[in-house]
Formats: sequence, C-alpha cells, structure tokens
Amino acid sequence: MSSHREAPEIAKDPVADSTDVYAFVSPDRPDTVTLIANYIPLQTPAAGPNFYEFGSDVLYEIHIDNDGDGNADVTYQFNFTTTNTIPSTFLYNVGPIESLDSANWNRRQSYSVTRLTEDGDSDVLAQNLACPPCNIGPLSTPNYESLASAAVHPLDSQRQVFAGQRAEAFFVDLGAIFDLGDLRPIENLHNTFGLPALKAAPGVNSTAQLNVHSIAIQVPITDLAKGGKMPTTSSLASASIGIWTSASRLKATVRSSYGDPSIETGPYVQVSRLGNPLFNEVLVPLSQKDKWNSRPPSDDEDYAAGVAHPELAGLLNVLYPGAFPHLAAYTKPRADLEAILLTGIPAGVVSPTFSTFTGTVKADMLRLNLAIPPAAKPNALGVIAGDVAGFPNGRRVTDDIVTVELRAIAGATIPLVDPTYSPDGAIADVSDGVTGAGLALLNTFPYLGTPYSGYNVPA
Amino acid sequence: MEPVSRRTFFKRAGAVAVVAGGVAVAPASLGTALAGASEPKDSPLAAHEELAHSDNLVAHVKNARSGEISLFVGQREVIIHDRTMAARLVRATRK
Repeated sequence: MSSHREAPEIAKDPVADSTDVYAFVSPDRPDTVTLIANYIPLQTPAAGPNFYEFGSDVLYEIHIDNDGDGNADVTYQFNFTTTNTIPSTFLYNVGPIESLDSANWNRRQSYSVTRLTEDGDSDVLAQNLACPPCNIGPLSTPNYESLASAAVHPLDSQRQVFAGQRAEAFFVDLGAIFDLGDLRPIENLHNTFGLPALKAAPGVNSTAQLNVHSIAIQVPITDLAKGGKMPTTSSLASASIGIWTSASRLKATVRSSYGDPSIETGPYVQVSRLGNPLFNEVLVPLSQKDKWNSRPPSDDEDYAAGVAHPELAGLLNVLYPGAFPHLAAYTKPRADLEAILLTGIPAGVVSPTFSTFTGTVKADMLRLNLAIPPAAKPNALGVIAGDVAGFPNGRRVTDDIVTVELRAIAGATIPLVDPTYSPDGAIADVSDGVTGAGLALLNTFPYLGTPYSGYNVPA
Repeated sequence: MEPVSRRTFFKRAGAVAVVAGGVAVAPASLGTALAGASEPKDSPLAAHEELAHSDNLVAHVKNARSGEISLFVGQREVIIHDRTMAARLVRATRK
C-alpha cells in the first residue's frame, strides 16, 4: 500500500516499483501544480554499505492526460546516471559529504528531465542535475538539510525539480490489513475464523521511520492544462487532468557468466504504473496485477468490473459479520467507485461546482481539478470531509487515503450516486487507525520531509 | 570519474548477438536480415552495415514455424518473418 510491492513481479524489482503518486495545486504557489512519484519502497534508513538509488537502467515518467482519453498528452521523463568518482574505494563516501560536489562522495547520481507532448515535441528541460546522497548519519551527512536543499533545482523562474531520498509520508497499518483484513480499531468485530477473539486496538504505522526515493517536479498549471490555458471554471471537464507514473525497462536482457557484462537492449517496456492509490493493490486480481502494471490507463475498461463489484466490499461482510448489513444487501454496480477512480466525479454529485470528471473513458488516473485552489485548513479525509482540495481531487502528502478508500469501499460514498442508500453505522469506525500526525513534512517544495538517517534509525 | 550506469555497463559487452534459447549467432547473418531482402543473404557485411560499436543485437525466435524473429538493437525492436532463417537457427541448436 498504496502501491508498495503491490504485484508479485514488481515486488522483486523495487528500483522500478512505484509506491505513491501525489498531485496537488501547490499551497504556497497556487499558480503551479506539484507532481510527486515515489519509488523504491520500505527503505530501512540503515542501508550501508550500498545505499538506495534510482535505477540508471529504468525510465521513470510522470504522465498527464488533459483530454480524458486515458493517454498521455504531457509526459515528464527522468533518466538517471550513476557515477563512482573514487573507483578504488569500497566506500560510498570517504569523509563527510558537505556539498553536492564534495570530493569525499564516491557514488552519486545525476539526472535529466525531458518534457514530451502528444504532438511529438521533446524538450530537454535540464541535464546533469545532482541528486542528494542518502541520509547516512552525523559523520557522513552532517548537514543533510542543506544537501537536500541544494538538490532542489530551479528549471526557470516558475519550475523546479528534485529527485532523491525522502522520508516516507504514506501511513498505513500493513501488518494488520494484510492479516486477513484486520482493522485494529474494529478488530473486536472480526470473525477471526474461529480463533480467539481480538480486542479493538489502535493502529500501528508500518511505514513509520522508513524512507523512499522521490521524483518531484513543480510546474505552472498552464504546462499541464488542455491548450495551455489556465482553467477558471471548476465544473468543466477541461479543468481536470489525470495523472499517473510509470517505470520502464529495456526489453531484452541477456545475463553473462563469470562476471562478464550483461546485455540490455531494445525498446523500453512498462513494468510499473500507479495512478490512484490502492487501485492495483486492492481492486485488481493477484493474477492480473503485473499485467495491469504493463498497460496504459486507456485499457482500464478491462478492469472496470473489479471496481463495480469490488471483492473487498464482499469480504467486509464476511470478515465483520453483521457490521455492514446495508452494504451486504447492496447489489448494484458501484457507480460511486467508478466515478471516483475511473472517470472522475461529475459536477453536481458533490456540489454544482465540484468536479474531477475528465470524460467517459474509464481509466485509473489520479484526477486533479486545476481550478480549485488549495485549502486554507486541509482535512486529511479530503472530499468526504468537505475539503474539496483533497483526495480524490488530487492527493496531498497529508491525505489519509487508506481511511478514505476503505470507507468508500465500505459504502460511505454510495449516497453520492444513490440517495436511497444509507451507509452502515460502522462506517464511522472504518479505518486502519493510523493518521499522519507527527510526520515531519516541509512547507515548501518538495514538501516530503528529510529522510531518516541510518545512524538514528533504528535507534 | 567512472560512469557506471547499468545501461552503459551492459553495453560494454560489445557487439554480441544472442538467440533466446541459448544459441549464439554471428552478427553478420542477422545484420544482413536487418539490412533488407535486397541484400545478398550470404555476403559479408559491408563496412557501412556494421553495428555501431556500442550496439548489441539480440534475436528472439518467437515462433520457429512461422519464422517470426524479434531483433533487439539499440532501443529498437525489429520483427522479421523468415522461416528459412528460423529453421537455420533451430538446426544450429542441434549441432
């Protein structure tokens, strides 16, 4: 979760495994959008001697669909290069790394940023941009914040980019949820399969004090909007865009014997994809997850049945017998989930002016209405709590998407499309019991916090 | 500095042609196929036809009966249909 190790094959290839996508109108620069794609899940900060890094054989991309067809109209590509500056040493660094050009830093990465459009335009926005090192500890990276700050690269007066290690901001009780759907706050209601009953308990954040690798780019809204025009009417489909990330590898690999170099060639093929959090994780059958990862959003009609009749909704009735009688009796296709995840929510459903609708093509994309300004006081539950600047209108780093999606699947959003339905009383307690309280985030780009150092974590 | 991008690391193998299934094939024959049907099939490569030094060529016989072969070179995939070549490659595996 939200897409950490979500499919069997990509779980074995963490360098190419997308974990989260965030997209939001930047709170401190509301004429811009911030796009963040995270990779390399569940990093233990104490990771020496070989610290985490992007794949220089992986093509990372962030895609934007601004005409609702589930295909990219704008794509940002990120290509990484890894360099050993001191080939004779076995060490990542031979002294304190006090700057991004430190002579003490052996293994480092740089990257290029290219913007492509559906028309075939390809614009290299920057090359040889330095990544920061991983956060090692007080001797190797004594002033980590300054290193990370130096790795925020302005592309021009309006655009900036960062790629490197960050503190994990996603929070979830993985340990309980994947123990047969146990939600600790209501585990006293779990059927426990005849095993001893459980007592309700607070959630445990399984991703606490872990790191990820983030690719973050902040661009003017007009870089992403259809026709390059600033949308002003939030109810129009043209105000909303779809966002997803992908990672691709070269198609042919031949491994060599006796340490000889292997061969990697051919075109890039997609091995990882992520738009809405939890989509592949929860709504796509295990046998199809890696295939889904290889396909574009425009193919997602093939997966729409899993949204209209989500397996998890049926499981809730089995795992928590008697807790969700209204949900158990509801047999109609889940038009609410189709709207949230596959088409966007049309105007008039939540309010006359709120929309994330991009069109009738069913495509898993994180949708963002570019005409809705940032919230002055964000609510982590986003739209279902009345904060229309939060998930599923884009996704901010503070949004509690696990609780929102669990409650949506449990029926909380059915009344949006079917006023005759009344959510079950247990809805208010549906949660993994974990919140983002205490996350060390930044108020400015790239917003995700300083990664935990290996010296300090685990303590 | 010593760039160690995996991509460049992989490319240091030089020009090597491999057929999925474990048979190595001289680049010349596949290079000729890439060059087009009008080229003499058994003549050596002319200088201007040779692979770039950094390029590898990998062939994957996807369907020996129909002769469908995928050729991977640089960042391209070229699909050819040549039942004679596929047959020669299959027979080569039995030597």
